[in-house]
Amino acid sequence: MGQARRIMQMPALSVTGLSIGYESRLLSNLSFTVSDKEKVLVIGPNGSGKTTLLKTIAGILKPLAGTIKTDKAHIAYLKQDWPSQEFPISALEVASLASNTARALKMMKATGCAHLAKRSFFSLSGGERQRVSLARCLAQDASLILMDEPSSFLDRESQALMSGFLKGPLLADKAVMLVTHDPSLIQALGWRTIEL
Amino acid sequence: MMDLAQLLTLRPIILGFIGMAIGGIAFPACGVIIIRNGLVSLRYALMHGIILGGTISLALKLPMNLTVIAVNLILVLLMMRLRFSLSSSSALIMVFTMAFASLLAHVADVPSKDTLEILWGSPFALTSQDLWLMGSVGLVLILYCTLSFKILSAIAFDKETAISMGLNVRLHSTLTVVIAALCISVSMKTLGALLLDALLIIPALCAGRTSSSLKGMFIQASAYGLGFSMAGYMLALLFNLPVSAMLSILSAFALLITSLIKGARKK
Repeated sequence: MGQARRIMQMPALSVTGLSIGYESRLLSNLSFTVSDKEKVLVIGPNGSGKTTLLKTIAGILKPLAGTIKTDKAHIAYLKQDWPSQEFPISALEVASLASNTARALKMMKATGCAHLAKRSFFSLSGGERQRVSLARCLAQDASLILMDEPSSFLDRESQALMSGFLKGPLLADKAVMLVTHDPSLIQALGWRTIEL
Repeated sequence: MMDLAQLLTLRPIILGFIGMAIGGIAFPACGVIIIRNGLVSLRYALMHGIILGGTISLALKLPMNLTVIAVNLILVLLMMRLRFSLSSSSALIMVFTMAFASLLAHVADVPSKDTLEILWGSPFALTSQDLWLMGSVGLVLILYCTLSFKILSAIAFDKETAISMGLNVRLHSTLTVVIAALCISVSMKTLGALLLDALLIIPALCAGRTSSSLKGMFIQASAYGLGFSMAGYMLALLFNLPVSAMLSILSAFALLITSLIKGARKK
C-alpha cells in the first residue's frame, strides 16, 4: 500500500540533464518534471527540437545524454502526421492497436468517431483520423500522453473539437505534454509552458 | 473431363494439388507482410538466393530444399549485418548470388535442364517430404500472423507508433524477415524462382485493393491465393500447360480487374 502511494505521488515524467538530437545535439542539459495529471505545453520556433523531444521521451530516439524517468509502459504518443503509404487498415484496427476491441470502441464513442469504426483509416478526413488516433491513445490506458501538434492539419471545426477534447474530462486523469506553435491553442488551453 | 479425373488419381498430381493448396492458403500472408513492411527488394534478393541455393544443391548433390533454406537464411543474416539500406544490400546480394550461381553451374557442369527447373518449378515434382516442409512453414506463418496480429498491425501502420507502444519492433522485424525467407525458399518447387510473386505477392496486392481492413487483407489474400492456385493447377492439367505460367496469368489478370474495380470505386 505504501509503495502504491509512493508510485501515485511520482511525477508522470522527470527529465534531468537531457541532451537530444540526431547526429548533432539539438538541445542540451534539459531538465523539467511533469506532475501526475498535469498538462504542459511545449513551445518554440520550427526546428527547436520539440518533436525530437517528444520522440526521445516516447523511446523512438535514444537520448544523447541525461535521464528520462517515466513509466514507459504507460506512454501514448500521438504523432503529428500519418503514414504516407495508404493500405487497408480500419479505423477500429488503428484505435485498438494497443488495447482490446471493446475498449477501443468505447474510446471511439467518447471521441465521437465510433460510426467510422469499419471505414478504412486512410479514407477518413484529417479531423476524423485525429479523433481515431486520440481514441487509440485513450484506449492504451496511458498515464502520460505525448501529443505533437494535434491540430496542425485540421480545419477550424476540427481544431475546435480537438481543443474541446483537450480541455474536457477525457484527459482529466492523464498527464499531457503537447507540442504546438498555434497561438490560439496556447491561449485557449492556458497550460504551463516549456519553451525551447 | 474424364482425362482430368484420371489424372487426379495419379500420385504426383495429388501431391502437386496438395502443395498448391497449402501454398495458396498460407503463403499470401507472407506477401501481405512483405508489402506492408517494405520488404519487396529483400524478396527479390531471396528469389536470387533460391537460384544460388538450387545451383549449389545440384552441383554438390545436396538436398535442394534444405540447401535453399540454408542459403537464404545466411543471406538474410548477411543483409541484416550489412549497414546498407535494404535496397542497396538487396542489389549487392542479387549480383553476388547470380554471379556465384553462374560460375558454379559452369565449373560443376550443372545440366541446363536442371537449372531451368529451379527457375520455373514444377508442383508435379513435389514429394511428401516437401509437403510436410511446406505445411510446417505455412503453419508457422499462419500461427505467427494470428498470434501477433496486433503487433504486426502496429508495425505495418507506423514503426514509430509501435516503438512508442513499447513493442519490440526490431525482434518482430527480424522474425518477419526470417519467416519470409523460409516461405520463399519452400515455395520454390511449386512455381520456381521467377514466378513466386504469383503466389506470394499478387494475392496480397489484389486483397489490398478490395479490403478496407488489415484482417480482411490477410483473409482475402489467402482466398485469392487458394483460388489462383487451384484454378491455375486445374487449367494447366486440362490444357497440358505449365502450372506456373497458368497461375501467373490468372493472378496478373485478377490484379488488373481488382485495380480497375478500385479505380472505379474512387471515382
